[in-house]
Amino acid sequence: MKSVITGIVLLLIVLWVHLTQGQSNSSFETVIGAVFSPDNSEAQNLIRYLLLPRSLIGVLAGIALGIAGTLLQTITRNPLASPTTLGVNSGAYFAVVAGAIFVPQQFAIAPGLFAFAGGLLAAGLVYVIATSVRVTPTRLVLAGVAVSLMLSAFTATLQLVYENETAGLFLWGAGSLVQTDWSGVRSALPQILAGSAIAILFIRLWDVLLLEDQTARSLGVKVQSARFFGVVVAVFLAAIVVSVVGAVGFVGLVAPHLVRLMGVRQHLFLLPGAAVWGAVLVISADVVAQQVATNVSELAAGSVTALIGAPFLIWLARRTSPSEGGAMNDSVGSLQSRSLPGSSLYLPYWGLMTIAIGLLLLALFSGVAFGQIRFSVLDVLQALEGNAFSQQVLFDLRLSRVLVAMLAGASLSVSGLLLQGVIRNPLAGPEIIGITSGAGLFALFVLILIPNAPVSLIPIAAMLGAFTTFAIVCVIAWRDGFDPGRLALVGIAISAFCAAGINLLVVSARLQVAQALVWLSGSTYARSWDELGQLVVFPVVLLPIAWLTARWLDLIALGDDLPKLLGVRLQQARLVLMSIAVMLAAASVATVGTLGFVGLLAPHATRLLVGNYHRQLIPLSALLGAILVVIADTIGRTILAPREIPSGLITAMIGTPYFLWLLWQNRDE
Amino acid sequence: MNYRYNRRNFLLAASAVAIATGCQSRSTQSDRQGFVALEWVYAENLLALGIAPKGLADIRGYQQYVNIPTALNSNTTDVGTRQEPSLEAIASLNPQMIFGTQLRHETIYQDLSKIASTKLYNPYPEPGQLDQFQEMEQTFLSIAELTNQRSQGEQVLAQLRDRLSQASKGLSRVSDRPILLGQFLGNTPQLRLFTDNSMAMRILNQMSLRNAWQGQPDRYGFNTVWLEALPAVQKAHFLYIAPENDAEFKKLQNNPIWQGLEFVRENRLTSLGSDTWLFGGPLSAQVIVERVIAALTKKP
Repeated sequence: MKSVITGIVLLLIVLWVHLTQGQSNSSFETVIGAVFSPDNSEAQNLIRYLLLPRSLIGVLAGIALGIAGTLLQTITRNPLASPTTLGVNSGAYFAVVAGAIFVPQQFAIAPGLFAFAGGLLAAGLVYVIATSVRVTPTRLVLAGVAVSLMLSAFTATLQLVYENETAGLFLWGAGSLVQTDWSGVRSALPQILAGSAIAILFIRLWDVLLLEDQTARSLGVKVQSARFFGVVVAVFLAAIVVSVVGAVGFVGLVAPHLVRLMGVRQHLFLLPGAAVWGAVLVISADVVAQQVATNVSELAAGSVTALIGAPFLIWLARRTSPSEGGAMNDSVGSLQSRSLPGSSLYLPYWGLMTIAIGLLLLALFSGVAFGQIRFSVLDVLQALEGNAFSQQVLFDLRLSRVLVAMLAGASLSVSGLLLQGVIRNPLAGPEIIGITSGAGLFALFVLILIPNAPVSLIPIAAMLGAFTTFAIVCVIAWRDGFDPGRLALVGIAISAFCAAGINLLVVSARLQVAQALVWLSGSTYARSWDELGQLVVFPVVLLPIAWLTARWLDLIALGDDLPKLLGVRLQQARLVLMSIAVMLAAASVATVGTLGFVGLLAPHATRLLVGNYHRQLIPLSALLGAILVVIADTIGRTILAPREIPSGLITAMIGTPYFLWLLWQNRDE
Repeated sequence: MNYRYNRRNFLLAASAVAIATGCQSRSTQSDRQGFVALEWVYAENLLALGIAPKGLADIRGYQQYVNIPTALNSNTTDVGTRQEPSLEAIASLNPQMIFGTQLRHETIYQDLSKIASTKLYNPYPEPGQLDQFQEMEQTFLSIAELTNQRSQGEQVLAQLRDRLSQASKGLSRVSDRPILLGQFLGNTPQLRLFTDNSMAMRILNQMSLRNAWQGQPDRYGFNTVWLEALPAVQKAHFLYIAPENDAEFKKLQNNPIWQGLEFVRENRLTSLGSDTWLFGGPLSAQVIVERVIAALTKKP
């Protein structure tokens, strides 16, 4: 009760600040006048038709996200669940962007419907994959992150190909509260109230879902259908928010935690509490956003919620004891035990390696052979003695970028494998631990702050960014050693912080959106021999070292005690392994941008193929990562030629279905 | 749409077609021939010089946003997006020269240079240097020079200047109200108001029109604002460009603040059409001139 009242008081204070700020600088009296004794004066109209709807839509968004986040966390029993981590936001946003491009008239009539359909689609996909047999919290989030990345890739592709049609959607994507009239509030209000009312009506059901499944069943609750119902309510609420104000991240994650930190456990108080605190968060974010914004450009509240939310999550991660934060740790064990050596395909290791090498050679060859201009196999073979033109295309334009793709893929994949092993977290990867977005943020900083800087400065900045973020993550997560769960949480938080920073930079520096998107989505476009030369040292030196140190990873997987008994200095081994991982990731980010997803996908695929012996895992996952990126590069410049799709988007699009299939394949206990 | 049928434009188009055909017949002789434009404005410049570009980035977008009297030749090859044009597609055209913009193509300058000699321009000069109109003129002349069409280029610019001074005399009698030039972005509550350094506003200035918007000049030549900024400039005549059927713009028209603005109440609000390109070359500039004249002289 106390948490709700404090929340309301705080909400009133921030609302007052929110209403009296802005370009019109309204006085308190004008605000009161506009509410209680409206005349048709300009000053009052500004408040009545711009500022009040803006405040109210913020409050509604906060309420919806707070409740949606609470429900999702309860249903999945996962402290990391939220509309963002379960793919709902990206699904809804994808539908919004696609609708605005392809069926603008229908979209204009009912944007909410599009968002709900998209959100439901994403959540449905996550749900189907994760619950084929039984929902486990980790699998739900794993599938959620995967679906989320894939849908964001689709959205980014649309934004690139339809640059002009979507230029206006960028601010929306970042979550902006700007309103033109009451229509947004009018359409959102009944839906959010209805959704919240339903959530509150079934309070006892949610309380029961927090119990063990056995206990819940013995109380006569149909656990699966109850969860499904809860997911639909949560998705509905989150999707309405996306359709009206865009993707406001983090509120759904933070608000419920804030209330729980005040000692609230029962949903009777948890739901209203999270709703009120959600509203406080959104409005405060918009207050900050408006302070930062100039008359030159608007800043999205969504960028600020992440900037506020991320440090909170870090603090939360530091507070969390290993056992609590380790809610997801069991999954590595379960992932591994389910895939004993050769268990999936019944192939010996050397057979797998031969196939992988063959596939890589095939991928490299098609990478050189296919493109805008078709060359026959013979042409490629004869290129050495061929004319200047085919030589130029094959060697200067294609071969160099295919080789860059190969090395970047191998580096990212092994980087992800090392991180997953050290942190003992299946979600770990350069992107989760904050390395990729840190590198991206620093590089973008240079791009914007020093517009005339030589291009060669960008890789250096990326490298610096990767190490800085990694150092920050380590310092924050260190407390008598690295707790895997805590490190992952801090990494996710820093990632989100950097991503928000990137968004903020793009909006406030009004960078050409396409320019930023291309770089940020990871591109092997026009990578030439120079870039290859700059990248090649890192994998050539570091991959063999990684292979040599692989045995430590096998020991780390056994838990903390056994390696100590065997005389391995655990923390030092971790530090070495992680440094290798960071350097590999940073080198490839510096060359091809934030080509995410490879570091998450390829190692998983490898582990499911050959089990968990790292001497075997490292070469094979390097090969799989290389194949993935080379194929992505080839598809990206062939399929829509002459338009290019950045490889990072392709890796997400082809990697995700495979990853989801693997999850689904291994559903049997 | 009547600008299409005036005599000057007809002559311009006719000569363009003549020269373009001439170019094609001549070109078979040399090994490298034709020009590739990686940004719409340079394709437009080539067309104004009577040259059909051999390759152009994002032709679909060009057709949608740029409307000039000289149409694009159907033989022009699409070379991909403006941000990441396909190097292979460009190389296979074996062009004589490539025109691009620093903003997008600086990073691939070396690769482009290997294919053909490449010229990158900067349409957004730093404040204090050129204004965007001067840059447009310079770039146009530079392209005219590089394509051996210097005299044609000077002629086109002279025509534009003639038209501007003519318009200036005509308009000074119509109204002395300041002008607000805006571009609604579509699907988002955001509006670009052009500042004095922009090419579009420089054109209006040369037609003796004053800018009502005194926002801080920005590199790109516009400020992005919303409704809150408009009451301060409501005495102006508002010329705008909005996408067709834009939901946000329709919503705006029901807003009491909007309805209360002086330029709305007194009907000083005119659309320039959704395909007036404010970032183009001399031909786009002429389209702007004709449409602004039509907008300001139309009888309510």
